[in-house]
Amino acid sequence: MSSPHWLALLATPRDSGSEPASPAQAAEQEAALRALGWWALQFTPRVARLEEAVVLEVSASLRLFGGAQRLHRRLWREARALGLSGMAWAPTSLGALALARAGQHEGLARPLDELLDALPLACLSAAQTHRAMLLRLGCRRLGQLRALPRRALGRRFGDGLLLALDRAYGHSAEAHVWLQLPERFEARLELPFRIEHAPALLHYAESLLRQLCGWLAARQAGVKRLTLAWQHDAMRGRDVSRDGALQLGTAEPTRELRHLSRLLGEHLARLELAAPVGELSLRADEIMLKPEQAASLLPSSPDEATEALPQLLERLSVRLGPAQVRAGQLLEDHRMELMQRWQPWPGPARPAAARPALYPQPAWLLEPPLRLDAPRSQPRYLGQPLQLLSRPQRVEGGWWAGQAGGPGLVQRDYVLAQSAQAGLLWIFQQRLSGEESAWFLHGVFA
Amino acid sequence: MLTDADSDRQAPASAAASLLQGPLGRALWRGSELAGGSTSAWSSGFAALDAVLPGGGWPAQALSEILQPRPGVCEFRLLGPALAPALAGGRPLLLINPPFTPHLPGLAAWGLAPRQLLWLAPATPLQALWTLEQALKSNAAGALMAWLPEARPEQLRRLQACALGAHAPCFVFRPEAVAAQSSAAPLRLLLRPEAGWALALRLLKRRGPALAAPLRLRAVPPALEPLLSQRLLQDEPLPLATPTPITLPAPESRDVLAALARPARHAQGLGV
Repeated sequence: MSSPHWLALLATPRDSGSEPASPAQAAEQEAALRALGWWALQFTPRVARLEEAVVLEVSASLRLFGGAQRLHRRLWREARALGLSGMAWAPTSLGALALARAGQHEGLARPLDELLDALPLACLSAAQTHRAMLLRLGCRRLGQLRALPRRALGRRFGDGLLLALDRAYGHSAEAHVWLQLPERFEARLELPFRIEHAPALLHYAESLLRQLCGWLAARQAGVKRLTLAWQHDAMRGRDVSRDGALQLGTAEPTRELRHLSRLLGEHLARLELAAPVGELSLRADEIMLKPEQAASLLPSSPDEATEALPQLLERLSVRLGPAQVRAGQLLEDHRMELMQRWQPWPGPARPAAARPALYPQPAWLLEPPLRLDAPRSQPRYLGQPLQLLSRPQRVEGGWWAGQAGGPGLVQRDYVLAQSAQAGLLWIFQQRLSGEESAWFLHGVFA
Repeated sequence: MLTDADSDRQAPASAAASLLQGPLGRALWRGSELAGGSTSAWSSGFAALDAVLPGGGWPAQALSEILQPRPGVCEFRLLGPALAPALAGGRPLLLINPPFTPHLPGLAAWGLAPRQLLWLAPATPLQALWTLEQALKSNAAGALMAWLPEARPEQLRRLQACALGAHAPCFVFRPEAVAAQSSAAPLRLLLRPEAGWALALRLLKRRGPALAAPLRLRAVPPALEPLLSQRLLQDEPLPLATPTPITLPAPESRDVLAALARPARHAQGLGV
């Protein structure tokens, strides 16, 4: 068996200094750690929580992910979005954690004893609890602590310190409780203060989304539908319900944090909260398997999309309204109004094939047709007489359709006309009643 | 006759000139010349137009601003030949805020497949600007056409900055009245339909010397070609405003009215 290769991942809130963390920061760190832990499960099943870090043992997975160096780089690159702030590797998990706390990375190139001996006491939690006493003894570094007589050390500080030292240096076996991935994703977060404006929820919802993305990465899945729910606090009005929810859907399964967060941001920007919100929860309603795609070997070309089209259109449909982003479909009919149907994107998955129209069709369609002035049966548009260029094309049909939906019965003679200002027009003549007929503009050959 | 001193002075100048022929020259654009192919361009399909456009076609990574007297007059007659190749990779054409309903069977004649067309109908001018900006930033479309009648110069400047990262040609349609306004778009042209089958085109702005003479492009919509007779398709302008139609029987003629009136008589018969 190959030698153990432990990685420690730290997630420290950005603005935390040396002072004790506030409950909000602690909650944020906890959320980041959960996200990191789940996310790390895609690399190895041996992932555990250790104090304020996630540790994982990857010796069995190194070859699969292209060697230690590439795996380290990938972890560092991809986990930054999930809240990763420090990372180190070493033959033991406590050793890796101590190095990560000291801001170092490399724990495998040199003997572990040398590296750990130079670290301050604060890097090992068991030593940190007895820090005041040890400082009085003149102990500042782990090496000095280890040089003290073992038996005296055990009598003075208990077995805990000795055991931690042995485990960190690899003299004693470590025991871990491996992380288990929950079957369903549901996470909640209590907000540090009440929020009244929906867009301000995004920052906290993002930490939930991070957990979701970690969980999805471990399951090799993408989410299709998710629900963000919130609970109002006790100060709400009497007619306001206790909670609310927002459903999000994506056209294609995704686990991209940036896309989900932008999509949620669009939804939240349009939301009016009925009362201040005290608690958020996120649930994945529908997930689909989404195997990882191999990255391209070639450098990205200039015309590569920075955002995939479905993601762009999803965001546009949220901001503009679903009915304003339209995809079209051809239908078989002779009446121009019924030759096509525009539907909210993405439209039908498999549009029916339609035969091409028999008559020339303009590029623009006027809906409804515009009635033209026609003194002495000479149609005029924009105050100018139109010049008719072609023979009339008779379009007749729709006797089977009632008047209720669509144009119903249509009997029209279409003529190509030219206008000096408006170009080539597709106009028709229709009988109105009795001997009277009228001209309509229906399309433009633009 | 040249003195020695003159020839000495000329030597560095000719060295500089030869340097400008090389790679340095390709990166350099002098105002008196047409800008070269530093950015990619999409052929417009009209040889006469390609010859006067910098780079030999519609520019990528830039806005092309097209001014028209009225929206929805001859956009596809000008751009149609360029759109189909730009969409060849399967990317869509985004129509942002078009003046009329796009008619899919008619656009199919230009080689634009229905599943590649997306119609975005923002409710307000601001939303239209936002939509175009997002589309440019994502660089996911094959070509973009946007009708922005109310865009202001500073808004266009922002869009032009976004367009620098977009590989697709992007056409912005605005009314003729803004020709006097300044605009950040590197290419501006004025488009008008002419009598007959021609489009009149005036280049208001390009990366190159000003072009005073307007351009006349013959552009017959491909959908119409089977319909028209050879005489109609001839290139000379058609006489305008003829009192009687050329080929159509006069609308008053009995047989047209009879054809139109058929069901009415039928109904009358039922009634009697």
